[in-house]
Order: sequence, then C-alpha cells, then structure tokens
Amino acid sequence: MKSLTIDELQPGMIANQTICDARGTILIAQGITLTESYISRMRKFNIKTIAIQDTEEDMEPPCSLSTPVVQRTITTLSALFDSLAEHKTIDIKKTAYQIEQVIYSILDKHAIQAFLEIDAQNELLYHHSLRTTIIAVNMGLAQGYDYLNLEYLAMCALMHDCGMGRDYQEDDTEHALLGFKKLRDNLKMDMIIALVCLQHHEYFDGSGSLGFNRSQITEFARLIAIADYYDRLIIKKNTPRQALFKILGGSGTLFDPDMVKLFQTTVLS
Amino acid sequence: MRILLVDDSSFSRITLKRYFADIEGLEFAEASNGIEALELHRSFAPDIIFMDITMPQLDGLGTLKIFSMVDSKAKIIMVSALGNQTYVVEECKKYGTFAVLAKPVSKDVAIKALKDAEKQLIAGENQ
Repeated sequence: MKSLTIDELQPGMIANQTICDARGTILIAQGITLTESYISRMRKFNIKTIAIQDTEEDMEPPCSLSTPVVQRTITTLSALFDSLAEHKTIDIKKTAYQIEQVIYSILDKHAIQAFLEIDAQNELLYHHSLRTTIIAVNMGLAQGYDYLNLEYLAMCALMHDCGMGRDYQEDDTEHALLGFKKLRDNLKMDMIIALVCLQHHEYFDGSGSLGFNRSQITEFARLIAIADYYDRLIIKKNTPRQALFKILGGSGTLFDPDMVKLFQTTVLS
Repeated sequence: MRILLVDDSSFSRITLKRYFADIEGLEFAEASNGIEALELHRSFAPDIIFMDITMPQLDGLGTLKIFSMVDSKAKIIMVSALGNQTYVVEECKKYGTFAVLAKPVSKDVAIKALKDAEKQLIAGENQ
C-alpha cells in the first residue's frame, strides 16, 4: 500500500482507505476504482493524499455468490421480508427490491461471507442480524443515503452483534466491546463497522452500558440502535404495535429523536 | 514524533501545523472527524493527538473515550472553544487527556503543550 498526492492520482487506481466528509458521509470508499469525477471530488473537498492499492496482493477479488451460505442468505432474506410485511407495521413492500439489492451487493465480500458462516449456525442470531439489516437499510433509504452509504449501513447492521460469537444472549452487553475489539484488529474492516458494534447498545441520554451520549454516538449506531431494538422486542414476544410504541416512548432518552422520526416515516399509517 | 490533528476545520489543522513548522522530526496526519481519526490511528499510530471537541458524526469526547479504551500511550490534547468549561475539562480528565486548551490557541501555548507531551512520552520510555 502506498500513499499518493492528489496530483499523482490517475483514473483506474484503487483507493485503499475510506475518506469521509465533515458530516461523516463517505466521499471515497476503500476498494473503489478512482475516476476523474472521484479525483475532482477529492480536490473539491481539499483532500491532499490517499492510500492506493499498489500490488496484486492488496486487491481482494470478489467471492463467489454461489456459496451455500450466500444462497441460504438470499432464500432467508426472502422469507424475512414476507414475515416483516405480515407485521403490517413497517412499510417494506415498496422498498423491498432496493433493500435486497443493497444487501446482495455486500454478500460478495470475503469478510461478510466469513461472518455469515458463523452467524448462520445460530438461527435466532442469524435471523436477527438479517432483519435488523432490512429495517436499517429501509430507514437509510428514507434518510436519502447514497448507495455507498447504504452498503456501509448494511454491513454495520449485519455485523452489529458479531461479538456474540455463536450464541444469541439477550442480556449480554459485553459483546459490544468484544465485537469492537475483534473488528478493530482486522485492518480490512472499516472503522465505522467496529464503531457501530461498540455503540449499538448506547442510549441517547448516556444511560447505556458504556456511557456514550448524543453526538458521542455515530449516526449509523443511532440509526441501527432502533432497528436492533425493534427486532429484539419482537423476539421477546412483543407485538409489532407494542414494539413501535416502546420506540416512540424512548425518543430523547433511549433514542435520538431525529432517528425515531426517521423510523416513524417507515411505519405504515 | 507522529502527530495526529483532528478537527473538522481545515483552518484549525493548518494553523497548528504552521505553529509546529519549525520543530524538526514531526510527522503529521490529519482527520476531520472522530471516525477518520480512529481509522487513521490504526495505521499511523500517533504519539500525540490534538483533537477538537465539537465535530459532526462522532465528536471529540466520544472519540476520546474510545481512544482511552484502545491506547494508553498516546498523549491526547483537546483543543476546543469549549476548553474553558469546567464540565468539559472534568470529562476530558476522566478519560485521561493530557491537556485541554481553549480555542483560539496561541503559538506559544500549542508548542508548550506539544513539548510537555513529548517530555512525558520520553520520560515514560526511559522508565
């Protein structure tokens, strides 16, 4: 890996780091092939240098999409969309195709496939991860994120419980820290994925287990916290309406009010 | 000595770099928010971090808390317009920050903080 200045960049080179703007929106994603428009985008945002992949070894070829775990995930997703639609709470039918496309596009990544191999061994955890991803990406679409950010949001949501290993345990809060450390140690994992894992049980008012509050919690973690909570309530036998009211009731205390409003826009009236 | 400058204002980052321009042996990396700072921290492994507090997406206090979980070596100097507020200073101290400077920071104050942090790092290495 080498770092090049903006003047040395050529279209066709592959970025080896993710660069965000001041709002945290991704401008250049790791692994993306640079084009003239990306390079001029970098100039516009006054980005002076970027790490570039310079050897074949740095390049990670996409994996096959015909592996058993990917096939199982595609089939499972379809069933989960049906069951979520049956809740008649979240408006999922119109956006199902877009959500599927976003999730399919992250399934060819090595790290995602490796994670699914473990996750799929526990059906409860596997279904929870996938349902959280569907609900989160649905919110991301309502928020107007671009495709790249939707992909990152999907990866964060899918892996938010990776610290749990193979067991889904409702009361376990250690998994956030464990997952963060595991993801942070893997340089191929973007930091935002590790951060969402760390902060998805944090509450907006700072009463969560690690005490992060408000702007100390990343936007994706504030969004995914709601998707995750909704599904955990359903797992605990709440009805979809009960789950919805508990989320509304947690606005400003457990959850970012803006994210609760966003969630509400994805709810059937 | 590797220095990481974290601030959403490029002007603030440039100002600090200018202040330190005459000091030899410094290597700089820059981040404009907490996520970028944590990402860069993995590869750049800074010795000293100058960090703003009010930043979008993940602010300086949140980032400081995470640094305190993963890095006990780096000296963190918070640089913020909120640097005069007792609550902010207390919160920063709780998470092991080396110093809290109030913006706008003068050249002398910035260089003194850098030199003090450098001294402590060297003293720590010799122990």
